[in-house]
Amino acid sequence: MSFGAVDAKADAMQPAAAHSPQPAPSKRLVWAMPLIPALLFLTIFFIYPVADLLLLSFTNKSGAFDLEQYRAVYSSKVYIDVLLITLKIALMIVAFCLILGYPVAYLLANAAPKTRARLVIWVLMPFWTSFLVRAFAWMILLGNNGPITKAVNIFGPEPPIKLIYNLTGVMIGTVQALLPLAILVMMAAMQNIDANLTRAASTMGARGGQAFWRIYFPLSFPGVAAAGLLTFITAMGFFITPALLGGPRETMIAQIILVQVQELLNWRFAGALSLLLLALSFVVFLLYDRATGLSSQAQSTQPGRVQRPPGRLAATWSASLLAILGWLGSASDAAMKALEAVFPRRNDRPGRRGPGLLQIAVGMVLVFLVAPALIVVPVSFTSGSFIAFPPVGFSLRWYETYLGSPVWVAATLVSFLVALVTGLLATILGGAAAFVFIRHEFFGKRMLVALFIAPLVIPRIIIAVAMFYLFAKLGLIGSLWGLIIGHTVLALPFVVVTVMSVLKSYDERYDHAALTLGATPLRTLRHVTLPLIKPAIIAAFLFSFVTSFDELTVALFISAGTVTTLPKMMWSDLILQMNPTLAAVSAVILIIATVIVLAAEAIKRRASYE
Amino acid sequence: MADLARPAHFQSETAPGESRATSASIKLDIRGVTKRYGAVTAIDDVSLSVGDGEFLTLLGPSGSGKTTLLTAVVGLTAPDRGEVWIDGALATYAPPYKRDIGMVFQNYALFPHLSVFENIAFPLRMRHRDAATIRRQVSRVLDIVELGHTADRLPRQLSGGQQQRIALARCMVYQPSIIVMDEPLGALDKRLRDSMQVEIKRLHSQFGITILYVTHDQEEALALSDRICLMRDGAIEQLGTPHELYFRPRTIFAANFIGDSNIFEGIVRSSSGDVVAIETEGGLTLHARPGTQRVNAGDHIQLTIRPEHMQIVPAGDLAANQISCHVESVLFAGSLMKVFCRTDRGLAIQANLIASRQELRSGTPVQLGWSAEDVVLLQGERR
Amino acid sequence: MSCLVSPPTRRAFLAAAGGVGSLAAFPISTGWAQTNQRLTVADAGGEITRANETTLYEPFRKESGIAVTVIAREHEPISQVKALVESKSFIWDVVALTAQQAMTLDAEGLLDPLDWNDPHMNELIPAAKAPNWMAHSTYAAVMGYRKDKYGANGPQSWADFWNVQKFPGRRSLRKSPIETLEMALMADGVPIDKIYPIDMDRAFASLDKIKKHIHVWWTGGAQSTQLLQSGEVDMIPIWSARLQTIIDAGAPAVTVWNQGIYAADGWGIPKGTPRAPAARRMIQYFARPDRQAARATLLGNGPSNLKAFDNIPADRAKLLPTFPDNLNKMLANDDGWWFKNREKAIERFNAWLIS
Repeated sequence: MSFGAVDAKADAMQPAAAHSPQPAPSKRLVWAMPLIPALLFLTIFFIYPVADLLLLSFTNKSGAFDLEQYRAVYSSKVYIDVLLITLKIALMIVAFCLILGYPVAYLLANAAPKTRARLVIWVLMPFWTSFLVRAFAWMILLGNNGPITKAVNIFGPEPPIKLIYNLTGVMIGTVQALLPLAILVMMAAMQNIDANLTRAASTMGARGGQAFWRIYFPLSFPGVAAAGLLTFITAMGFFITPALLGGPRETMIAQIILVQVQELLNWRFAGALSLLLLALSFVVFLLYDRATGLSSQAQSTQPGRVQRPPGRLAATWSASLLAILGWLGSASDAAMKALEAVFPRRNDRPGRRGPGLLQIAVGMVLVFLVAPALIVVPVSFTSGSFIAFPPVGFSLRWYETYLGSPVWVAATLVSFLVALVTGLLATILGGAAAFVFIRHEFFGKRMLVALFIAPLVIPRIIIAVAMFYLFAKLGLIGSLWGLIIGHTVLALPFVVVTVMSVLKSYDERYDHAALTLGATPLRTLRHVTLPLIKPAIIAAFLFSFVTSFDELTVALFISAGTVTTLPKMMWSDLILQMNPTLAAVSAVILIIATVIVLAAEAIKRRASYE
Repeated sequence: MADLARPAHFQSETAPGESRATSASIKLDIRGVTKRYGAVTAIDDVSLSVGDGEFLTLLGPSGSGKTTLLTAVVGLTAPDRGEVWIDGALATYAPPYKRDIGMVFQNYALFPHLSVFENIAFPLRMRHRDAATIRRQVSRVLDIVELGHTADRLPRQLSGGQQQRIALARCMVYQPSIIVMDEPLGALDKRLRDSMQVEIKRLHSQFGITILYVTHDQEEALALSDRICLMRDGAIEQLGTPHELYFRPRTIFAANFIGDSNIFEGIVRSSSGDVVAIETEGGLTLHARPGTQRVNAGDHIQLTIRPEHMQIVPAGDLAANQISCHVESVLFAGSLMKVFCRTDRGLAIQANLIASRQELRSGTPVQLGWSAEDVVLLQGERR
Repeated sequence: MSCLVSPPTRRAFLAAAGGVGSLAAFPISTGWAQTNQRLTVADAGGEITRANETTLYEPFRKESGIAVTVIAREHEPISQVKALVESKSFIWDVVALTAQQAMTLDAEGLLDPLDWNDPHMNELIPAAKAPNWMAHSTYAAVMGYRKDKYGANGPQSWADFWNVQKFPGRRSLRKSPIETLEMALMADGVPIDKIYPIDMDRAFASLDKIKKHIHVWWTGGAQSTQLLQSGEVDMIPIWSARLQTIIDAGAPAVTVWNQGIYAADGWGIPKGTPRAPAARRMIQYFARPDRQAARATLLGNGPSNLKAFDNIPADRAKLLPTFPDNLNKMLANDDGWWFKNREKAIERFNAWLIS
């Protein structure tokens, strides 16, 4: 397996004895090998079945080619409007995630390892509570009788502030859900940034703002770009949280598609809408990729390679980008100066300084992240039958309901197992593909990257239905492998984008050094590359794990009810009312996950002492 | 492919008498290597051989192809054409980890997640040496670079100079037959660079390693090398000892790239015995000794004179070449004064003089003189 | 509520545990190879499964000797029924369906016929019968309001719900045209027997009047109970069984049967399942009045066989949609109208919502 550090041609050692002149070996496609498994996997389990279903949209009832579904889309303004609303909401989510997530990622990336490990646990908190439970927690927190709304409205704004069942509610719910993703992706990229560079910039006379915007920010940009892409694509597919926390205008296209598939059995129309969503996402992706260079090859890939001079458009673009960054630098320097004038920095007491603005901001974001989890834990101890805050009485009855039930416990175990295998499979397949994407330039690469991201764009219900037909033929319905394969398809985008973002800023000279020092490509990967991009690998694994752990739609279809996962149990338990069992489940998962993370950290620390 | 049949050949431009590796002790032989990236030709049909124990420097401006050549030697890029022979074995397409070459990288490329000890132990572990051997050999090279006390630190806890020495130690520990260094001192400040140069030179002579060195710093190249290979636009401009390159540059590019030069263009007017008279732009008549070079009256010619060969001469001195001019400005560099002069007809001339107590003010008229031997006749522009 | 239903069954546990034990392809029905007759039934899961288990499945197993495996399905199961029929992987033999869902499937020929040659099946209310579908249960969308807000003089009709002067307070409506359009018409004074065919223009004009007073547009059943139970809203159209659940658990809420809209929940057989004969037998069993009576004591859904009321205690009976006093005040959902006009109505409703 060549991971691209060496030209594939170099793989075959010429026998020293053979002095006969040897022509350069023909250009074999060995370098593309790591991409093949993931590509095959996606082709078989995603492209083939989904394309089959989506292409129905070009036919009429008798199966002949017909654009009637597309005419139907255009005959009503509502679908295009909803598409635009979806786009607007997704972009807003991205903006909030990046703005709120960046300082947290920055602080975490630059913190001491111990502090970082401790803080990451808080960032991960939203991952461990099911999206359903989180939505209900927000309903309690932000509801009319909720503590937050009450606290805000104590000051008597008129009319009273409404934090939920409108755009605000959607933003709060979705941003909290996606923020950990954004933070971890950015953090993984930032951990690769050489802190000396910013320090060097400040010795060259750059004030903090200039050093940050001109040096640190551009270096962290691949991470920001990847985080933006992942949050955007995920947000485009959201509908449950916006439906639960939004108002009438917060209708997402995925919701409409879901109704078409599930209630109206109108798959051809759903296919047309999905293809429109796919096309819109693809256009956004291309523009985005052009602007951020996410999928382009890393700078340092080929030693001694002459950089192709950038095109005029790119040059103008990067020049204006530099100008903007410079302006941002001066602006923030000026702002800091003004701030210092108002609040003089205490230079009289060197040593421990109080928390700075950054720390306070990050603290607030962390509180925001863990708020739903914080409400779920007390609620789970209620002796009443409702989830309500403050909880009524104290009892362990909901824990008894959960832990005393073999079905609940078995579902939990199944979910952990499926998530674990999904995490490993997606990380290996997607990680290898990301290497090829970043280290080689080839025709159609952008299309392939888009293809790997597509499972996030296509509504899950479409994927679930499409997979069902294929899996029925393969005998995978109701099997754990069917579930794992389905979840791996959904998890691949997270892995590919996360690993790509980190590889992009990875200094390939480490690999070259290892190779010249006698390490084979495989050992280079194992002893140098992987340890150095570990934060990204771990993040990618976590995303895959959580994607599977919290997945409902595909599980409902593929498991066909015979394999019960935790989200499915929770979903069916929600039939009549939101009862505190779900809170107890969430609290237990929260504790298990946190203990696992802490234990992993402790083991790592002990290992590093030995 | 036809030239592959020929035995190891050397740069065709190599003049007789220039030092070169003898074929009996050739460590590294580069034959007609070409590498293109798209439309850009990074190196074009380059041939070069390096002798056992030799210190050869690839010198040239950035983009001249020296790093590409280096990576072809190491095996990080495969050439489009040509061959690389190491120790008499064809290695053009051998992967780097089978080449037994050590490489010191520009920013050292010390593995940030490994301690100093583990960094140095890395090549030994890749060669499956046993633990005791690893411990012994690592501490031996740590002692050589005098950094035994840093074994447990991480690279980022070291200063730039220390990192540089660890990178060297990591290369030396497995005793590769060739060490290539890619601008290894580029990131260091001047003082550190000077002392590291001494160190590298010491290690080279002490262990007799063959070193292929890349730099764009001509002083560094002159100070360290047995031979210098001056590169330009993907091809070799001139190959020779530092002395040859400095005193006998063959092209304007070589003259300009190494040291300061006064360059003139002119027409050969007459030749009497071994001295020729050349009339230059700006109306000067200069005398030169072309030596083995053949020049004829009427030839257009370029020539260079090193500023340090110029002296202030009293009126009526007998030096072969003399011109009067006035001082425009003076750069005082301690042991040296760089005096920038101009003739009445506007020709600029630089003279580097041993600093003396006597100050030269701008506007002072001076008479500069130099001998005919110091005038170097250049070949016309290549291509 | 949850304390009333039986603990999860051993079978369900075996199914889940079998999944943990093996990564290999999982057998479609678990561990019952020794019985040649077995059925897999897919219902809505959760408390409904628990109630069905004790009142329907377990007695049926005992009586018929047929092994029954229960699995929870998606709330909207028809896409999966279509997929499993078309791919001929009959993981379900009997599936719980609403009348709407059954009609949609039947229109595509995806349901097997039932065996109507059964005395109890012919006792059912008209809304419970279709050629390839039979309802064992009824539900109703009714108005629920907070007793602590309105006391004894709460809203009694959809006109009251629309009357924001007389009944100030936060309101919620369902984010769907189904039932909502009917409510809008009733609020606008259309008599109950003149609702269908729905005059959409009039319904949306009526909705226009209330739109800005709607605090929440709810989307999920659990959300609707949460909204009323927590006091987030003061009145809401809600499914009666859910409303009863929170009333039983102590929430100060009141059920308004007047102008409620009732419909039925039933069963269908995916076309082509090799176990169709046993499946038909099971569905016939679900029509029995004693079974429906037992079930109605556990869940707030009414029986479809009115004879069941003979076996339901009076204080329980009046909480059920098909209790004659309740049934008389309510509108029967016209599934036929909806089946024909659903797509258009949904499209128009979505456009109206975001406008």
